Amino acid sequence: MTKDPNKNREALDRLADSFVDDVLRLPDDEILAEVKEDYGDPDELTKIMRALFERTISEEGKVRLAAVKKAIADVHKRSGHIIHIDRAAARQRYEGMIANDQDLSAKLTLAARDGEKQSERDIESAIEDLAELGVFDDGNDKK
Amino acid sequence: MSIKETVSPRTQDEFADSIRRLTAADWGRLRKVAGYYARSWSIEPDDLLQEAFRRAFAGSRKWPANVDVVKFLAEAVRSIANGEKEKAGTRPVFVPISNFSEVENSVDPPDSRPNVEQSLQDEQEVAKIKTALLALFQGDEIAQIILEGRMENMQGDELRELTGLDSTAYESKCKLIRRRIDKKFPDGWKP
Repeated sequence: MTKDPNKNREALDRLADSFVDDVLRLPDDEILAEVKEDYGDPDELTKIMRALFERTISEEGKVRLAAVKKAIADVHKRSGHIIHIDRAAARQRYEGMIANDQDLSAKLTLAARDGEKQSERDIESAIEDLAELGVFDDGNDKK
Repeated sequence: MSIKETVSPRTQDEFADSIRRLTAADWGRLRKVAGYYARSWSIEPDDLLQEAFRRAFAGSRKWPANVDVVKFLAEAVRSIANGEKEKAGTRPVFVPISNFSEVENSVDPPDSRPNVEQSLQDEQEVAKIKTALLALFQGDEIAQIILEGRMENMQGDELRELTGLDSTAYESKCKLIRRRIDKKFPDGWKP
């Protein structure tokens, strides 16, 4: 038994580090050959890994959206007032905002349903949230 | 490996764009990196990668603009795996309350100290793994020297000098060692 209780564990950690360094330096053709041997078709692995990434950021987007909604709901609860909006006008303004901002459109799609477009419910909810934030408070959209 | 965040970090969109542009070779590297770090700690490689994506996307781990995204994620995976290791090493264990306790049926408080018995057992298992790795290269003294040297953090030039191999022969031997271990321990290092 060694005097340092973590000595062998650290040795394995260093070995893993050295293997990682090797793999990061491997030319593409060699890494693809290894991937094929270890996991099968590299294109299939790519699809699986990409799906893992998209799923992760979609979940992260939903977590953030839920946090924003909760924060707004908390403010609403504390202030206790009800905002009345002209829904048709607000909807028109909302669609205009998205049409003029490709970045925003992409983010909302991402946060919605795994890359699908926003549902009616999502849109209504977003309009209510924006109304809460005062985005439509220019005198024309409030009843 | 260490990343110094001296350059301003990339944005969330830049990160997502870079990931979407990764090639099959890049994904292969990342999967193998996660596999190496997952190996010792009974963590799933996909879980490590997913956590690395999540931290980078959420901004809790910043991606410096001067660092390649694959290297950045490899370092993130390493750091997450080390975090899991720390957690495992300091997991709460229950210790007996003093026999002199006056309170019957009291609950033992958790102790954050590592369980000595468990630590010894872990270390014995790791020692067995190390022996099993070296045994894969019985009769190949050069491979054993390189393998031991890499476990002891010796650098490539030191090992080349020690073994008398030129650069190409050394790289080739390192690959042979890594691939033989990959094939012998595809699901982790177990004794």
